[in-house]
Amino acid sequence: MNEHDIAEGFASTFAGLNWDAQRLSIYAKTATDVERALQSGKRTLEDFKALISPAAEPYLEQIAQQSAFLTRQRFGHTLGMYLPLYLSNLCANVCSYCGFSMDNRIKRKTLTLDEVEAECRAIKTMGFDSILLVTGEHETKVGMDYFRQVLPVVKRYFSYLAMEVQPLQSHDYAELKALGLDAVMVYQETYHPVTYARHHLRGKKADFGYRLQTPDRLARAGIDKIGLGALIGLEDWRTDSLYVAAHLEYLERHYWQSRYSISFPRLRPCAGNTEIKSIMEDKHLVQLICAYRLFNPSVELSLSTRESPWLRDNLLPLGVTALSAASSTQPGGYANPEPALEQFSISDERSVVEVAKTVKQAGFEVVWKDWDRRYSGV
Amino acid sequence: MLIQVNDRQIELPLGSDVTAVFDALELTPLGYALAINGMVLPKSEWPHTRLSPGDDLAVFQVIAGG
Amino acid sequence: MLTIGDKTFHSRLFTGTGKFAGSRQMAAALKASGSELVTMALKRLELESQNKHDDILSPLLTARVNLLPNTSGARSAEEAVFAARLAREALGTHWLKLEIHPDPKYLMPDPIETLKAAKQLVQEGFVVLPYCHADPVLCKRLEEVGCAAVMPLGSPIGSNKGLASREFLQIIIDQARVPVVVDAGIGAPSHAAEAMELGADAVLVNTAIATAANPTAMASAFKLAVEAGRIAFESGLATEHTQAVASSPLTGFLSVGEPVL
Repeated sequence: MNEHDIAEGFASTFAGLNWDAQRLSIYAKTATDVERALQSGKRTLEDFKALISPAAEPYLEQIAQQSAFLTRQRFGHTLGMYLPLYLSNLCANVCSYCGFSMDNRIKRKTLTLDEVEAECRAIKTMGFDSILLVTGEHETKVGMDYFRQVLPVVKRYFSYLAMEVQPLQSHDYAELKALGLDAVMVYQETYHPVTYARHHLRGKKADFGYRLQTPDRLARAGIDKIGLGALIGLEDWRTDSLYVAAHLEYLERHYWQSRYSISFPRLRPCAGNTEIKSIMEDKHLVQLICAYRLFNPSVELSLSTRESPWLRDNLLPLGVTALSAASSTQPGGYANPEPALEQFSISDERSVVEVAKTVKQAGFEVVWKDWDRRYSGV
Repeated sequence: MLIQVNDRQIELPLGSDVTAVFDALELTPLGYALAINGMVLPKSEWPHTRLSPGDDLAVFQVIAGG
Repeated sequence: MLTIGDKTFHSRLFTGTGKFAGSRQMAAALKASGSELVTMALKRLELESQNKHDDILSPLLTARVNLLPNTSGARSAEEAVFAARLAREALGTHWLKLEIHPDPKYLMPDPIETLKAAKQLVQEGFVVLPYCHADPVLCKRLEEVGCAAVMPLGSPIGSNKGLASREFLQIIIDQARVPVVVDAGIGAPSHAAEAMELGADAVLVNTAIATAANPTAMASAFKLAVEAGRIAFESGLATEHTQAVASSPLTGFLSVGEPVL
């Protein structure tokens, strides 16, 4: 059976949602709806909509207080640290917003196994034990054959292994899981198919439905943690975020043994050319993070170095559970930096030591390791 | 032949089928089920199942319960 | 309207036939309850005894309610499967309330035997409604093996203690993808309403109705309570909410803005 044709999974719920109706519904939320959402013990998607609506802006401090409280209750005073390791910037897709887009004339590089080891050694000295492997999306040159070799190498150095690469098939995920893969991030970018098509012009990533179904495949393969998110700016951020929340709700209901994580990357300038449809102000990012937390007290909320030091430091107590620091978005960026290979320029360029110190000053314990490779069965 | 039915032994002609048991007990099958030598016998099989001497039948009835 | 397996129900109150003074009282209470699904048990016929069990089947057939035989008396999966097959033959229904309690004092359901029996019975084509403890993981397992619903207990059978398992019922209801029927321990209409307000799909009540001074009136009370609770749930009941402990202002930084260096 061609996995591509499986109609079940989130796709069927997705088909029942109407973008415009949802958008109107969010913007129609009133102060009463927001107050009800704030008072509620168990929040629904309607409550989430109220919390991300314009009507919720005057309530931001209250929402933030709730969010901080719920996060402490569930996670304690801890923040996990992870690091992205870019293995390759080779890509067969054309995506309007991305520095790695195939039609961008940039220097391409894929790390050799020796270079991967060099990166691992460099990263180890920084203190990290949780790694996010990132590649562009190139099926043949940076596909399963490559991953099969790289994963065991990386897993020798780090306890927790996440990946953000092209969508793979269920049996691929099962195989990688046996090699030590713990988590996979697959962001839908935007849940609006027409807008999606405008930004994903060529390559396998143009297949909206296959990407949408990836979290289902991940859950069925038994992957520990599944990362969701929209690229904020491609569409109306509120509506896209509502879809993320709906996706999370669906997955939690159907795959009760998996863990979930949400990211909220805001579009940043990069080598490619792109229009930002909807600007998300800093206060909206605060609102969104807190709304996710109120909607789901147990989901992990992950903050990257796309945001400025000032904003990141202020976001720390609000609902975030994991963050990266001193990231490099170029392959070889830790052992042999070369800016020409970058995906996007980061905003928070502080060293890991500096960030860890800030985290501690904010009253949190930095958690480098919360997993052992034995739990991965490796 | 002698057949054990729950706490009673009953006498039936050789070659009798299971429905004969119910006739002998003056019961209509609705609300009753039967196991023969420890195995549940579907009602559809009752007319086709010949009894043998010494067979152990257990008849169950529906009663009130929560 | 509630759908379980291949049937739909208007009433979310299911009732048992046990403990009534007689089948006439049982039938009257059933009618007052509006219940469309009733449970009954199976017993070995006592041919030598003078005890004659009241015929409960005729009034139930007359009332045209759906029948849900149970496997009470079974203490193992094997015994439950045997009882299930008997029940199917006796009543001509695939529907089954799976209940296995090796503990004769408190009648607590055996989770291990229940899961084992459920798996087999689903394979044999039964529509299985398992009675179990309010264990969220167990309920997910039962759902996974194909049970048509789950029936977690509110409190021990016959105890009338209401929703002692409230917190766990809430988790079960939150996570379930099959209907949740709260069964056992519901002692008062308010308990039934509470279960419905939590989001239960239905409740099963036996002892509280059968042993009331006026079972028919009590059955009506339960009918009203289940309806009220369900309407409340569907109307967006305000749920309990943990008060956050306030800390120093968290969003003030936004109005101050990013420092310009």
